[in-house]
Formats: sequence, structure tokens, C-alpha cells
Amino acid sequence: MSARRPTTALLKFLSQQWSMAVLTLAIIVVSAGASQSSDQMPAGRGVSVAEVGAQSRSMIGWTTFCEAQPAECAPEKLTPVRVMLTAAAWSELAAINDLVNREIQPIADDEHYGIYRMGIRNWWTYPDDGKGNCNDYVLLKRKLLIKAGWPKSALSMTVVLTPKGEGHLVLMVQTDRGDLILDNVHERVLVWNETGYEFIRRQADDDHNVWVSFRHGGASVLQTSSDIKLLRFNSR
Amino acid sequence: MIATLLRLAALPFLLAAAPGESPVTQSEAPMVARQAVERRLKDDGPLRFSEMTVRVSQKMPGYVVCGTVYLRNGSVERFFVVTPGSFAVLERDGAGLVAKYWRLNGC
Repeated sequence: MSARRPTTALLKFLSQQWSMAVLTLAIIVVSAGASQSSDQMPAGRGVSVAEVGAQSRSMIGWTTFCEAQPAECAPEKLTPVRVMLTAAAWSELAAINDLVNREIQPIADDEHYGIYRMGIRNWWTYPDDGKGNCNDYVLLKRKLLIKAGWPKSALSMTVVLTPKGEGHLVLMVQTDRGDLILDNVHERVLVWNETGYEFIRRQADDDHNVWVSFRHGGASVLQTSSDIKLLRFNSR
Repeated sequence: MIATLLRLAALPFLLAAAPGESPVTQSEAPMVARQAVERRLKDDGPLRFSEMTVRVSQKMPGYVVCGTVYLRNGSVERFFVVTPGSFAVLERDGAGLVAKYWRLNGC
């Protein structure tokens, strides 16, 4: 037991450093950013998508979120789809991303809730008081998109590593123009392979309580064929 | 005095969405919506709310609140609040978002 203490202390220290680094970066980038217009919509051809492989272990943040708010994680079989990214859908996606990035104030979990003294290392929740970290931005963007009619199966919470090796959470939106990333660090919605992140795992398309690993270096060119179900929804 | 001290000591644990916090109930939803709108419009107050409607959320757990608010300058703005999330989308946010949320939620 005692041998574990230095490891626990180190993890706590690293977690604190990670939170502060990501928070600082978020403040700098979000405050400097500008909103994204429809003329910056990703190109439609030859866009790569991030390949996923085997089932992975769940994220502890998701597990504790589900324990705290079980209705959010009720079993639900989803039909995998890719959203047809019309100009209207793109405009809506960019608007919701901009809105949440602009209105939610970044703050580290421990500074926000004092979770470390409760023995909690990572706390995913909605930013109910207008403040939050990357997990909270992702949950709120996901909810606002679903409420606007976007299919849940096309919206996957996604774990990445930043170029500095820091853990981070973003929202991946699967579209016919590639896998797009909504992020509170990068102001603009980017195609996944433009972010500079290493992709670790995300929620499975057909079951958001299942997490799947990304294939390292795995990318394929999007084929608009019968094996990809495209969904055009009323975005107005 | 003791009760006040206990309440102050517990304050960090009573923040919305904090560990151990209970989900918002339907009867609490209007108050949460007011707070969410006030947070967005803090420079436009005092605000006067009217026509607030609470509905059970259809696609996600929780509630949605639709309503209109009168700003200090006399203008009127529609809003849409989701809870959990306690986030207000306003007409000024553009992209036809509030109109769409109202339509999809029968507001």
C-alpha cells in the first residue's frame, strides 16, 4: 500500500499540471479566436476519417459521469451514420461550437469543485454554472447538437493527447466531409488530422457506453458507398 | 450561527454539477433557466421574464425551458435553456438556433 503512495502523488501532480496547461492554452486560444464562417467548410473529396479498432476500456470520467447521472447513459442501440454536411448544417455546427467556446469560462476541475480532496481525479459534468474544463465543453456541445436534431451516433466523445502529451477530450462529428473535431482549445472546427493530436479512443458509433481505440496512424479515405449510411437532416 | 457555518463549509459541495449534486427537478427548471439567461444577459438587466414553458426533454434526459425576456432597453429576446447544462441559447446567437430549438421542442 505504501509503495503506491508516491505513484498516487505523482499522478495527482501530473494531473494538476495537465489541467493547468490545457486550461492556460484554452484561455489563450479561445480568447484570441474568431468565429468560423460557412466558407471555411471542409472540402468534400478525399477527406480521411480516423479508423477505430478494438473495444477499449471505458474512461473513468465517463464511468463516474454515468454513476452521477445514470439517465445520460441509459443503454441505447444507435444506428451509425455520417451527417451530410450541407452549408446549413456546417453553419449550425460552427455556431454551436463558437457559442459554447465563447460563453463557458475555462477552469480546472479541482479549482472548480475541489475534487482532489474528495478523492476524485477527473470529473466529467455539464458546466451548469457557466464554467468548466474540456470534458464539460464536450458534454454541452454534444447535448446542444442532439437537441438540434444531430444524430447521437455521429457525435463521439474522443480522448486525444496533445503534442505535449497531455490528455484532452474533444467531440468528434462524423460527416461526409470527414471526422470533424469540436474543441475548446482549437477555436475552429477542424478535420481530425489537422489538429495535431494523437487520437486514443472514442465512443463507439453504435453504443456510447462502449469505447473503442483508434488504430495508430489509421486513416482511410472516405467512400460514399452503400456501407456508409449518410443522414441529411433538417438543419433549419 | 452554527447552521450558517455549516452551510458555508458545505458551499463548495453545493455548486451546480458538483460531485454529489442532485439533478435539477422539473419544479426547479424555471429558476435554473432564469439564472442561465441572467448569466448570458448580465449587462442587459434588469430582466423581466414572461411566457416561460418547461418541457421534458425528448432526446436527452432532463428538461428544456423556452421563454421570452424583456431587456432593460425595452427589446424582447426569445431563449431556450437545457438542463442539465443550465445553458441558455439566445436569439442573438444567430444561425436560427432558437427558432429551431423552439420548433423541435414544441415551444
